[in-house]
Amino acid sequence: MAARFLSKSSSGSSLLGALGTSLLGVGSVARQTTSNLTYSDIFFQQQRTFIQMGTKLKVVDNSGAKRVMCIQALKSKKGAKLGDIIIGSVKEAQPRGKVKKGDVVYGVVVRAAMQRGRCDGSHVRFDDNAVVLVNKQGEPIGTRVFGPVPHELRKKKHVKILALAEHIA
Amino acid sequence: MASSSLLPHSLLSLPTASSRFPKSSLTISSISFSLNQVSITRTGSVAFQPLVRRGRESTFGIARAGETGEEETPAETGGDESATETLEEESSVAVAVEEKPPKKPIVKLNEIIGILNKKAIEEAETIKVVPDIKPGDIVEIKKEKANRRRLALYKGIVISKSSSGVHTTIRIRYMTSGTAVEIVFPVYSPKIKEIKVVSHRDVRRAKLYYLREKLPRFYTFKKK
Repeated sequence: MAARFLSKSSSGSSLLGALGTSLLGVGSVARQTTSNLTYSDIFFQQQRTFIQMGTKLKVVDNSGAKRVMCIQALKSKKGAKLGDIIIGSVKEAQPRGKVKKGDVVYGVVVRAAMQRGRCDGSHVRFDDNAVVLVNKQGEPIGTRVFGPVPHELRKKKHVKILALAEHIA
Repeated sequence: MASSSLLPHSLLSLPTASSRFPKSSLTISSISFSLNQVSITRTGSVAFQPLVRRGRESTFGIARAGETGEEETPAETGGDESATETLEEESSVAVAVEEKPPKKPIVKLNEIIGILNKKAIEEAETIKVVPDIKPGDIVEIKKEKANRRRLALYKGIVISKSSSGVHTTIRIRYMTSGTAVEIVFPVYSPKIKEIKVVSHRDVRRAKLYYLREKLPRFYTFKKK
């Protein structure tokens, strides 16, 4: 995808400007402005990190919200990992749902791009950041959960979300 | 006076006094000697009977060369030293001494981790046979879950392999329910009950991280 975009741009100086836009949908990655870009230069490995204030997450239940921005990661100064609870502000919502835009909600992180280690030496990571909205007691607001969820929720006592899940990774 | 030394190489450095002795002493050359039982003496008269006895004692001593608690030979050495020295010198020249205890291999410090890893891998191999996995293989992994009920099945493409002894890990990428998952499995873990290479895809890389930017159909596999 990025390669096709680069080949369209005419001169080397406009490459950086073209890459800097959000058209690619990739987070900001350092790129060189050389006329001869190799394949390895284009795709740098991103350093995935915690879910912190300002992180936009996808909502994967049918509570009505579509996207949520994290305003506080409970329990850790660094940020939330897979299985943690965050406080978020609903940025985008479906017209008729249980929550609407601007609501402050609790959410359980069910998919994170940062890998989480398990006690048997394995690690798991997903390709996106996703959250399931819950109430203060930890019960999900919605009635369905889409996509895979990790084992970690069992230890964190989010058993209801595991029961609703399609696939447990 | 008799002094017994246990240096094996001292036997070779002894002055060959075979010229001093008549050929008749060669009749006892069939007796084999242990290098550990060398006793160095000065001079003495040759007496055959003590020689034979001493010879036998030495052969007896060979069998228990490693032991330190030997009562017979020290008692005998008091009397027969003189005779034995000459005979042993002769035999050292004539007969090749082969009754050395086997030398234990010295373990070097930088080999310890390798040895420990090998042992751990051998233990892990008893649970399951680990096939040869390369990046680009499509594998099926059966893993025991925490609640020990059914085995979880994972089927995906190996995008990287990190070899480090018993903590060799492979990274599997697969697609479920619209989301891609990457899991790192330690290959020799006892939780993993079975690894099976289903098929192989030709790749020209050791690490297939470029698959993350490619279309999902390249890492989607149907589970039977």
